[in-house]
Amino acid sequence: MRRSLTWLALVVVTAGPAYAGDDRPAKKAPAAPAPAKLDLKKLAQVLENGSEGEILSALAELTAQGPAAAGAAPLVNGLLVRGSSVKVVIAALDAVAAFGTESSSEPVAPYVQHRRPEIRQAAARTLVRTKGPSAVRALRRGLKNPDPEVRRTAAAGLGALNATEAVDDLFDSLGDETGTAPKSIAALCNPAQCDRLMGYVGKLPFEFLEPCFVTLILRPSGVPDINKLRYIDRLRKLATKSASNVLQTALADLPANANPKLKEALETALKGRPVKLEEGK
Amino acid sequence: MRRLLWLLAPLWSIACASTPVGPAFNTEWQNDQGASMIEIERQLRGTPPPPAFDVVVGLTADGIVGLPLDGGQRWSYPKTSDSPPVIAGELVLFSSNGELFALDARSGKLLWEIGIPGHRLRGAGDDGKLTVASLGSLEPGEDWLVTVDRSGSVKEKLSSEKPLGRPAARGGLAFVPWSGQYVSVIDMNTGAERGRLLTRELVSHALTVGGEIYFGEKGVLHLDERIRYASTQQANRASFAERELPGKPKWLEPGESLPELDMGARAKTRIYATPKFSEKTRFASDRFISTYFQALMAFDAGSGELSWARAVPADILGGDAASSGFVVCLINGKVLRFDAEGGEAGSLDLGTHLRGCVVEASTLNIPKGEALPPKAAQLSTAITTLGPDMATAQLFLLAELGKLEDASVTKTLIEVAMSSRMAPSVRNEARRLLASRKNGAEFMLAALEAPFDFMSPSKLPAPVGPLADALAAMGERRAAPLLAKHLNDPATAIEDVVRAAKALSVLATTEELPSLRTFFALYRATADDPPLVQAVVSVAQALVKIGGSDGRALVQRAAKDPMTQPDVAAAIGPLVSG
Repeated sequence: MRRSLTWLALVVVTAGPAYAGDDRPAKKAPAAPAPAKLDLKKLAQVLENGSEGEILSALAELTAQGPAAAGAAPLVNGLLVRGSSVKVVIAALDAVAAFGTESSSEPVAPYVQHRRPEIRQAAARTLVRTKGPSAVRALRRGLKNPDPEVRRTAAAGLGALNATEAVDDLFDSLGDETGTAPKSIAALCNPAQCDRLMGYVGKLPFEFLEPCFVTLILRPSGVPDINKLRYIDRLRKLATKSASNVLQTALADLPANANPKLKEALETALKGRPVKLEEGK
Repeated sequence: MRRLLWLLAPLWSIACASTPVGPAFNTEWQNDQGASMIEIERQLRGTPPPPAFDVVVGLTADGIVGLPLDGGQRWSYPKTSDSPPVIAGELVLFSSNGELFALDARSGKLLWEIGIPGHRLRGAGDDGKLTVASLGSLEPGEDWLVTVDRSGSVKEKLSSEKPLGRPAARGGLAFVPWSGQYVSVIDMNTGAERGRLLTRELVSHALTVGGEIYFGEKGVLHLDERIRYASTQQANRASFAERELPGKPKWLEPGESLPELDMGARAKTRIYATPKFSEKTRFASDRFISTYFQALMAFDAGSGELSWARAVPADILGGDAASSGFVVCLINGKVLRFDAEGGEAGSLDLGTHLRGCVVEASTLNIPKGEALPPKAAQLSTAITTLGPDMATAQLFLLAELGKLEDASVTKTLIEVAMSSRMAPSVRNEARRLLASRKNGAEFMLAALEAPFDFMSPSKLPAPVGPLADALAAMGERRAAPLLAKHLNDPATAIEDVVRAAKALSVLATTEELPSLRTFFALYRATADDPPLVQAVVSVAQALVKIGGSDGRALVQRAAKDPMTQPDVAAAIGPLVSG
């Protein structure tokens, strides 16, 4: 009880918003918060010797501070390396996810292999926030995890982390048909890989591949427009309502500065007519 | 009270006059200590052996098909049978709706037919001129014994309230087992009982093989000069070693029962053997074969040890032990021939799906076929070829496989344990046997090293636990890094994690310290069931053993940490005390 009360003084809010527990990568990085003043010595004592309640309290407050409390990352990392109860481990993962510091990826990585689903799933989500090569390595391993939720998070996370080196692993995981690999591949692929992805049309269920098409067509770079025209025509040839919906969405979301040929191709395809396959401005 | 009726009354007096033992099947008979039988045995020595013909006869939905095993033409006869056909000498007999038919076994030509209202064929014998048939009543009533000549003329027709067994014939005499302990020798021309055998052997079948006559059911007595001692169990006898076999098959079913047309398990789980007293074990090829649907197994008739095993492409409906080798008949109409050692020696085809099949091959010598591989490979192929509904046979074959020292056995056991096609009971047995293997470490290491593809529909994770047990017992240190990898893999089943951790407490080196530390960190406070607690404690032992002062300190600290799971803390405390 005494320790709990003491803990309230450890973290002093100085600036910046509390970081919401959103497990998706933010579209736009928030303005860097000013660091919170932390009594690291006391925090270390609590994390190392506190009761479960005390530790959870401390971690909850750190989580609430988000990146502002990133100075506490080494201590929370240490807790993860030592291991703790299920509740504490999950709270610690939430905390380092909130900090978003790359140094946490290494201690978080083994938890993706934990036997308890809630821990391994939290760890996978955390790695998407902590980023870095260790996170990418662990998420690539996560594509082969027996837990489909971990696989989904890993596939989406690799796309979010722009892990182009993971495209082949993502292709390997396509057979799973439960993951989010197609969209990530679409975001990361080079032209040859993108063509390979489109080669799965007709082989894998359309609804599984569907999230990748708009991403491919709207890719701002990395995929030549002539390839995109082929993809549009490929979807036209399917002549299904689902394919038509994809083309309509792409047309609606097409940036104003996009190649007019793309707009024309989408409109032509939506009328059911073949797309002219020639590149140009 | 047994009662015998002579249906042909005028012959009664002739029969009485010619028999030394009284009316056939009479119960007033006094044991003559084998005197009448030895007289008959002497008499038969001068008679030609009855003809025999090796043939396969199948039942189809439309009729009967036959295929001579000497290369003759396939034949068919458009009449369905209401009982399994009987091959007697050169004849094929079957009953159908109150009629008894005899076909020429070589051509399928109808030789004769007689009315047998209310009865069905049970068994038959033929001496080359006359045929004797035992007929069972469809309703509670009397059994019949008829003798018929080649023109279809009924020479004798006897009836009995007691069920009769399955007869044999030679030299004008019918040998008719009855009441489980008697064989009456009936003159097929007169109906007179010329002799009688009392045995202490259960007897319901009389068999003719290569001119020799045998009586029995579980084992057989040979009709020779020692037959007179049958009542004191000193006659020449042949039986093979009894052992528990898949499906509990029988060789000779109770001969007094009326055989049924059976498409079910009983027809597909049988033993086939042929007595042959010139062989060491008194059985042809010194072996008998046992079938279990698609599994075909041959056993040493003397020791009962498995000689060879095969999986065949379809259920086995019939078969016979040839004079040398074996013939089996499959439900798809294929007829397979094997030499005594199991080598495949060609196949024939009845060309149609079968409802039943009988084979006579007792005079056939099957030439040497394509040799089978060593027994370990035979068993491996058979086990992995059989489908998941063949678990009973697979378990039997696995037990046989486990007896072999060959290192390749380990490989097969791993494959079985990892195959999703196998029934869980089969996989578990393979795991059990793997755990005690003393060789095949290379196969074990390869299995541990191979990545597990959870998306593969056919392959399950490696049997880490049994491999850990075996490799630890072998002191195989190369297993340590592989076991450490599986220790932290959530795809590894918890019972396997426990055994991997225990093996690592023996095999781990400092190379495995990082993996051991990770496991300890992940589970010392989250272990939520006894097996995981046990695994954490084993890992703590390994850390203390190879981790030096750091490892010891890590365990010491965990033992005192209130966050450590209480059972874990209690167990690891003593490891670092003092």
